[in-house]
Amino acid sequence: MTGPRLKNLVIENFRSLRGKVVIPLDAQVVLIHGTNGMGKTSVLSALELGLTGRITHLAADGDGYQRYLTTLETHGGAISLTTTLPLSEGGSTDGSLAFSDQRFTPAPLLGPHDGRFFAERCYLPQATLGRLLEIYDDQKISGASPLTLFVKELLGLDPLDALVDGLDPAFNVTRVRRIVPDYRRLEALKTSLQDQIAKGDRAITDATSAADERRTRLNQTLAEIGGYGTPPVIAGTTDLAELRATLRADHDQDRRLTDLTRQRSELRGLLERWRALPSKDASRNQAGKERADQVAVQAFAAWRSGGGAPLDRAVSAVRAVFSDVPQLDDDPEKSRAAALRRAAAEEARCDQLLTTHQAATDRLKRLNEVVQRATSRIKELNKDLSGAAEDAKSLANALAGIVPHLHGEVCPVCERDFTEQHAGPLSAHVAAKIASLTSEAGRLQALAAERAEESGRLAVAQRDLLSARDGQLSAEDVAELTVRKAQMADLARQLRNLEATAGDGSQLLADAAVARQALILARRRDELSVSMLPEIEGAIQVAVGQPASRYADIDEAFGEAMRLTDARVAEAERIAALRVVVLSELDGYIRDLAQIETRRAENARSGARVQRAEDALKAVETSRGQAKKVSEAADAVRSEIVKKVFSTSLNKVWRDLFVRLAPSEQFVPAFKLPDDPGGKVEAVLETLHRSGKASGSPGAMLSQGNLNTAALTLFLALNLSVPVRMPWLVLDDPVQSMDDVHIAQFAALLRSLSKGMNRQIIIAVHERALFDYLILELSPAFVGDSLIAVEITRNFEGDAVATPRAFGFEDDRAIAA
Amino acid sequence: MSTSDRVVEILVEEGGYRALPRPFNVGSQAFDFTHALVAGARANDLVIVIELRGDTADDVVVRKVLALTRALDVLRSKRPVTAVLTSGQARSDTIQSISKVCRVLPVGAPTGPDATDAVRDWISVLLPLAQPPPVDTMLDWEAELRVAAPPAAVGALIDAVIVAAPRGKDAVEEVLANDIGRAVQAVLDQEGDRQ
Repeated sequence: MTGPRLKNLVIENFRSLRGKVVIPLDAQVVLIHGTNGMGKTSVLSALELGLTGRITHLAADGDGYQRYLTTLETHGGAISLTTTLPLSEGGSTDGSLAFSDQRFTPAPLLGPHDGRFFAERCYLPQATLGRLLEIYDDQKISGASPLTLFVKELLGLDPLDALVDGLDPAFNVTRVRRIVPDYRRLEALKTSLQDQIAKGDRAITDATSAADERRTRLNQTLAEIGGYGTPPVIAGTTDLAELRATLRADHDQDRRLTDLTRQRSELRGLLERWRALPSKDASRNQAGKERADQVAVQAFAAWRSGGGAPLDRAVSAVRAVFSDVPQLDDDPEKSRAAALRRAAAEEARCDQLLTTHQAATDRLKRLNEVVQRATSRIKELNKDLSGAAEDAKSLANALAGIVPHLHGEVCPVCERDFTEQHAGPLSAHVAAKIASLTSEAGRLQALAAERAEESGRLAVAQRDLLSARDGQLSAEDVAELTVRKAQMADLARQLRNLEATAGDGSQLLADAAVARQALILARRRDELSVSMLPEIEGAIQVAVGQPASRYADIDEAFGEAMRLTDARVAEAERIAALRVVVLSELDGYIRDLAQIETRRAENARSGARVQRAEDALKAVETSRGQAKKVSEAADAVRSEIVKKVFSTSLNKVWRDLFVRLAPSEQFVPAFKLPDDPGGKVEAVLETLHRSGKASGSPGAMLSQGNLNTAALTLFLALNLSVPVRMPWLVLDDPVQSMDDVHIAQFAALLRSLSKGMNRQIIIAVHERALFDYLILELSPAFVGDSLIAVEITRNFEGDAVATPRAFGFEDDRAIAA
Repeated sequence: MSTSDRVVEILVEEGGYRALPRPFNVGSQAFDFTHALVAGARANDLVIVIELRGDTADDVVVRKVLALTRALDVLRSKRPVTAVLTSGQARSDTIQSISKVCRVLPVGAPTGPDATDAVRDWISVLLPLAQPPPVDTMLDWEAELRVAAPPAAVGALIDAVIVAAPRGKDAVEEVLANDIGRAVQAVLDQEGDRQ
């Protein structure tokens, strides 16, 4: 036997295996026996842990199992596994695991890839055997049944499934939108661009028809304007800019209009001036006017020398004093009034000056009286006071100071006895003296007050006197003023009396002025009409084209000229207006054309964008097409592979194995293949009668024992169908519900696997009889064959004990061959 | 050709068995069955073929088998014994009795065109296993896909999805989305620049 073998397994405190057990594995076949609960399964789990670092069928529910590996009441354990040779060059020959309730430190012998292969294809735990059976039970579920998934997984069809499923969105545009959200945007973009183009097309059509209408209008208007020889007609090829420049540059019309307008205003001006001339009556009777003028002048002169003479004298008299008074010839009344006013005013002034002088003279007189009286009084008072009466009061005070010193009748001053005088007591005398002195002082004081008062009055009077003197006139002045006042009063009276005369004079003067004015006016009109006539003639000649003399009179000629000119101006204005219209229409037309061009360019751009979007969509279609083709090809290949694998390999091997174990079973389980080659791979199980006829599902057709057999053989068939990555086959009590016949066949199959297929087989059984039987059946038959049988038991302390027995080849001489 | 002859033929030709002389000896004892064969290659099976004829007494057959196995036991032989019962239908208590001491294959007498196959099915447990072609060699899906893909599908996309396929459906879908998105994105980016 070639290839590496599992060599040795050491287990310590692992699950139900308390203590340390050593299980030798270095044999073609290893049989492990233990009654239920002794730890057969634990041995195989330990083997799996040593190889892969995990317990696959438990790890499906998470890593929680790792915390419960330790045997109860121990402090952790270890697993150590060795192989005879590394699986591949440079590979490991031992794997280990240290664990406790808190710790899980795997150092597996196999890498993850090989580990997975071992767990799936080489090791059949009881749990998985049960799962295979479950799969049979679930086979009726439509869609991706567990069987389908299991089979796909076993066959490694995932990439093809991924291809078929992953490319599935290509078949449906909705799903394309889902996986590529921008696709929807692109579609929306295309639609909106197409809308935009359609809108642009409509706008172009509208604008074109509008432009055509405008062109028609333009041509009509141009024809109407005329004046360019043959009127220009706008066609498609017309250089519009040039036409526009021509129209704009053509000032003839403007000039004509300007000329006409000027002509008309000239005519109007002339007419105005003509009408403004004084009426013809004014120039009539020129001689009469001359005469009237003469008469009026003479009348005034007569008045001047007659009735106006006194007035002239009076005014002249006033003017002698007041030269600003107007002379009589300007306006007698005005002159008189001014002279009167001045004369009256002068009279009033003189009168007032004289009155003031009189008042001042009166006052002076009175003041002089006051001064004189005051001076005399003051003199009197001064005399009264001159007795040095000033001292009276101080003397009284001094005497009052002496009074306390009067003792008796002896004078303290002169030491004389007063009694000698016989004038009463001295003290009374002194007191009387003091009283007399005191009353004298009061009188003196009143006098002084009076004198001060009088002095004040005197001062005031003297001051007034001075000012009163200012108001006085000199005697000459008084004389002159008096004369003038009289003179003026006389003149004023005269002037008042001459009022009517002055009125006459004024009237006469006014009449003369009127006559003179009329005369002047008449003279001027003659001059004007003579100067205007040639101008009028010329203007009318220009306007009507014939001399004014053809008309009855000037007014009629004017009328005709105005009418004609107005008509021409109106026409010129109309043309000018039309030109404006044409120019603006032409601008509009040019704009229209430009707009159409712009829109066309825009549409062309949009069209290019739509093209790009469509190209992109086409590219997407191509991608989708490719994806569909790939998907379909993948689907076909998948079906093909499944069919090939199932029909040429799996079903054949499975049948071979199943028939070996259940030769009497008439129904053989098989994978049913999809009839539709393009359809989904849906692996379902069926049974085939030995005759080859398809029949019902295994669950319906097979006994429980044979179902178990079917599951076991399926596992073995898959193991045989894949390349041998590792020559190990580990089976955990696969014969639980087999009958004796099956077990006998199974033993033969195991031997075939071991010897024919070079598998190292490790199998745990719980039944003692089967164990013994298998020892017999699997005994080494040739040199080099080997078998190890291990019995798992417990000693009385509860520690697990593994008792291995090794069987070598012994020459069997029972049958002489 | 009788069923027993077929059995012998299949075992000899397909299983490399060697026929034993009639009768054959186990130790000093001689045993006589319709046929007796021993496995030649890497096995030590002893196969006895018993034709159940009209005159065969079941209890005699049972006894003979028990005697044989007893003799082997005495000689401490470890040869597994298989009894192939052909022709007649075996009684179930006969089979029961024999199966206590050896493997029993009640082949009977299959008829019809598939008769030989039916016989082979019965005795296949005695034949070596044929190693089937491993599935993996048939699972070069990539090559098969490239062959199966029509010319229209050949392009960058198929290469990309084949690379992505082992990473799963989402990876493939992403490749597809990228492929579609590229064309779309180019136009949208251009439009984006315009705006």
